[in-house]
Amino acid sequence: MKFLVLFRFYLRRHRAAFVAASVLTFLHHIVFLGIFQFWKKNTALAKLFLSAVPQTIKDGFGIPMDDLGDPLTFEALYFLRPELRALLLLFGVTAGTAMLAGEVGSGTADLLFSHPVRRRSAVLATAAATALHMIALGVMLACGFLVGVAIFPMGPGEPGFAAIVPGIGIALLGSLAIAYTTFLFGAACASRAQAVGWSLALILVPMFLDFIGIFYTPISTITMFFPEHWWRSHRVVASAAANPVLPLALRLAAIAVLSLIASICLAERRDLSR
Amino acid sequence: MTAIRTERLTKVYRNGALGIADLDLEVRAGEVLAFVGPNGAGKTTTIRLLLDFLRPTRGTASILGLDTRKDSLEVRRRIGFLPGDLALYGSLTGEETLGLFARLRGERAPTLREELLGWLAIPPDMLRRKVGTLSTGTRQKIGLLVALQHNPSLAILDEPTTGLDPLVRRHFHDAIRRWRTQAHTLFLSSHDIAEVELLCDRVCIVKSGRLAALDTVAGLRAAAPEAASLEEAILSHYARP
Repeated sequence: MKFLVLFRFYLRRHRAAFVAASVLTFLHHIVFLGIFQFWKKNTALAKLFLSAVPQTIKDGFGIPMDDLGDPLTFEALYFLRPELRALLLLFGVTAGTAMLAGEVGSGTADLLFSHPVRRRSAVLATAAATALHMIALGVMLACGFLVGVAIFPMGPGEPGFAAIVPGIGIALLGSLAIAYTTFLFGAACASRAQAVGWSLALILVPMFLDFIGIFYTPISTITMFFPEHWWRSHRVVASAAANPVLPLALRLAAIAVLSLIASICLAERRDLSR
Repeated sequence: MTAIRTERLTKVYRNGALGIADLDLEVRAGEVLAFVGPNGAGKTTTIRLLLDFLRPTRGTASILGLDTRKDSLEVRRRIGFLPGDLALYGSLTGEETLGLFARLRGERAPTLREELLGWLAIPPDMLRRKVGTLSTGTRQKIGLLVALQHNPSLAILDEPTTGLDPLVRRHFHDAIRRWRTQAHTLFLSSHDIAEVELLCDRVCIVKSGRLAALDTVAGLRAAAPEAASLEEAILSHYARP
């Protein structure tokens, strides 16, 4: 009962961030499908553009980037777009760091936890609200894609289309795993700013550095949503070949569950003070 | 019956700062106990220990016969609390705030809400506004409503009238006195000695994390015959080494 009250409250609390993320997610796909179609129709311009891109950046994507109109290139660019992942992750960080650290930092924890509310209920309600938001973002992702396909005609027979549904699932599951990892900072830090700082320092920045190919950490490994990324990291070539979407999904689910359990333990043990 | 009991309650923070040391305190059921002391004396630390927000370094505390650590949920079910530095969810209206906290207690229509709205002179249209847009006084009134709307038998109020204008303060005192007619217990942390004199039966003075005095209002005055007022009597405790 109290879980449901908190769940509804947290769903509502992150409404503005969710609406912003939904709109951007929806538009993102349409825009990039449009760009893809543009490159497809203007191959000479695409080649000229690619010739100006430094080789290290091209290598960072982990696939040959000779033709931006090539569906394989599109597939990589489309799903590995850092801004799309960053959008999903920032939404997760927003929710994760608001949990406990946000409540303690803003002082609302005093009133909330003077009521008969268990700290784990607050953590689980936030986690459930975040998961529901992520699922809704997945729907927006799919809707944006379908609308984009309708606007810029692309047949389902295009190579790479088969990867789209599991791709969306993995992207969301990965984002959820990262969001739940930020719960750890939400559960341990004294303020939201501190929790966001640690999240950025230990998750998002290494992920970005890894993405552009100049840094590699075990933490950033968990942000690798796609087999292509595992292949690109060169350290797990065999695992990339042997681990298609399902084992990757299981790994991400395990990260999410373990992070959540650890967050609950931290939340139950900590002092509620700024 | 004892409403609050602490035995050797001690909190030393991680940075080594002393919050409160070996506090032995007993608040009788039905009384109003003022908890006073200079800033940093350990008043808020004690309250946070009672509410299980902080974990004690040693010692124990019980509220209404229940251990504040082991039975924390049941303790919080039975009491009302108004934090000293009240923060509400600014995006909720007053009504939504009251509804949220009532539902967290499993109540839909808290027994004392309507009376409190009258006692605190809150116009109904004020509750339809977002809390973030309300004045400090009205927000504080909503905080008191949240603390007392379920008619708890024990309320802990941490500096409830600090920074409020005299009219709002009067509404507060009026509401607290009316709520008290049901022989409820009040643990009141305050810097306002006039408020202490007006509302309280006994006064507990803490200083530098330790209990400095615990007596009735009359007893404190009698113990300091040279003091012209209760305020002076209390300040004389603050000044002692």
